[in-house]
Amino acid sequence: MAPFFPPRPKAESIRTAICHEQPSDSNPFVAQKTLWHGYDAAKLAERHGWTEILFLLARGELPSPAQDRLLNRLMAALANPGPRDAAVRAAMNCGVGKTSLPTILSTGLTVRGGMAEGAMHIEAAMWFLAGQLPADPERNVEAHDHPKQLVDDYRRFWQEHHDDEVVALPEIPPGFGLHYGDRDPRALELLRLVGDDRGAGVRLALAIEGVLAAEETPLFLTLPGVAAAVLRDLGFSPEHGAGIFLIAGSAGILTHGVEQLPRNWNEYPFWNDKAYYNYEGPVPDKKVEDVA
Amino acid sequence: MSWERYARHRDRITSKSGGWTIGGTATLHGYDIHQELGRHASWMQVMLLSSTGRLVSSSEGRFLEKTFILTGYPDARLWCNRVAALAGTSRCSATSSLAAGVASAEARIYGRQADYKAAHFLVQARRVHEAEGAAGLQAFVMERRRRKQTIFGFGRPLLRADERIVPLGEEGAKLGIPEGEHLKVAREIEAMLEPHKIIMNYGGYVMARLLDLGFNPQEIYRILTLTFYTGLVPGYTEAYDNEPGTFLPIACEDVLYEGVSERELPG
Repeated sequence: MAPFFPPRPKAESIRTAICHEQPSDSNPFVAQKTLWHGYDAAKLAERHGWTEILFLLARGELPSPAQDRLLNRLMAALANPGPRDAAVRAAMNCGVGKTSLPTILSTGLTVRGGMAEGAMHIEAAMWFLAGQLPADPERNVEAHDHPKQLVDDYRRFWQEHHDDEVVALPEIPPGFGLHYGDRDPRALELLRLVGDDRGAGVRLALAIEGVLAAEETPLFLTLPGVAAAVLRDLGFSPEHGAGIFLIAGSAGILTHGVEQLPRNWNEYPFWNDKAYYNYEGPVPDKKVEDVA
Repeated sequence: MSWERYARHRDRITSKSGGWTIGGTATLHGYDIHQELGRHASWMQVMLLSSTGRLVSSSEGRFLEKTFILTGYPDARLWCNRVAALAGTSRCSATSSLAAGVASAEARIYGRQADYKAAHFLVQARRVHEAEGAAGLQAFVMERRRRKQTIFGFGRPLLRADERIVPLGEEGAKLGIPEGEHLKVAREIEAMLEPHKIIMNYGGYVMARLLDLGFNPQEIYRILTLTFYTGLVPGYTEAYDNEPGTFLPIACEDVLYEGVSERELPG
């Protein structure tokens, strides 16, 4: 079909290898057919589920049945962080305050993005399991790296570079630690769910856990650590992995946030009793005029 | 018990910054908001106080205000502004659109991450300069060049000068804001990079000035959150007021597809 407009330079074009929209004969802005990685999007929606299409969009190929089962299990396990989770609570605060709906979800997702057990943590854990903290394109963790070497290298890297980014990496290797001071039972449950589908990423994570658990202060795999290892085994990049972690938890963020919408403000705790709020700062008697 | 320290924080918010006695006083870092800050401080001074715990002088507050004014370009080609405009043309609410614009400006190539990294770099550079002098600084900078690492705060695509630096410098002089060691080091670095046709950019200049005012990189990062705000709002507003979908619509053929050819689904 002849183009509707004169050609434009490549540098001024949006480029993508994911989506190809073929225009209708009569309107350049209306797509008559859409391809995702070469497949007809309409047929994909007829024959394939959400996780298969997510996998296709991120990786360029449809998953095998085993890969799809594993991704589904992972996302199902992560679907609802629960009403005590910071991201869900952020959405619930929006809900009870009657914030408009899109912001309820996007606010929760923002909070789920953090470095403490959030999407940034997943990304960091995936880089760590890939042997890329510090970055080293020559490194192949599957081939020859000892788990203890990865831990030692990370600790050295952290000492030298922890303030390089706006949000610091955790001092403990990402993906490992404790959950409210104890071994994370959610990690063990996710490992059980993964079952025989354990790949090299999960095996490496368990080997690192063996190193950390033997130290003076024992540390173990956390839920984000297992999730990161599974996402690595599914072949996702750390950036895609972090995003999938966000998407997976969006179900709980959305529903808990919306649940609060019809409630009155006093049906959700404000911690109104003054005993809850403890001011530990200076006596508020400073004067603006004292500043030169 | 392993969970004791969490139990200590249950039902207990602690703050050194301030708060509100319900029905009574509201305070911020030792100042009464109603009796002191509301009467005697500018919004910029209070914003800096809330970000750093430190009340700056009115002159320093006005200087900071200039740093914001001089870089708020209402041009929807700029990435964060375009985000706000796309939200506008999608008829999103102003708050969510402008928040999205602010968040998108946490960008490594032009925004808050670049600010932080420039400030971090200048702190390191000043330390090297103090310890090893100009030769040490030269080696420090050139090692970064050799490793092909970005020298944040230096370099500007398309242009050989940054039009914002001179007016900010003039305003700083008028307000009596002293130039300090970080700016001196930044200028030395600019001279070292001059043969490579790399200039100090506005980010580098502002970071040096803010470091010289005694702020650290994390404080600067927080202070500058709303830097581009005045550039975001016009693009959002115009796009919102216009017919939905008419902000920079993209035709199918405008997207250059680089993926695999059409194929049949398996099975």
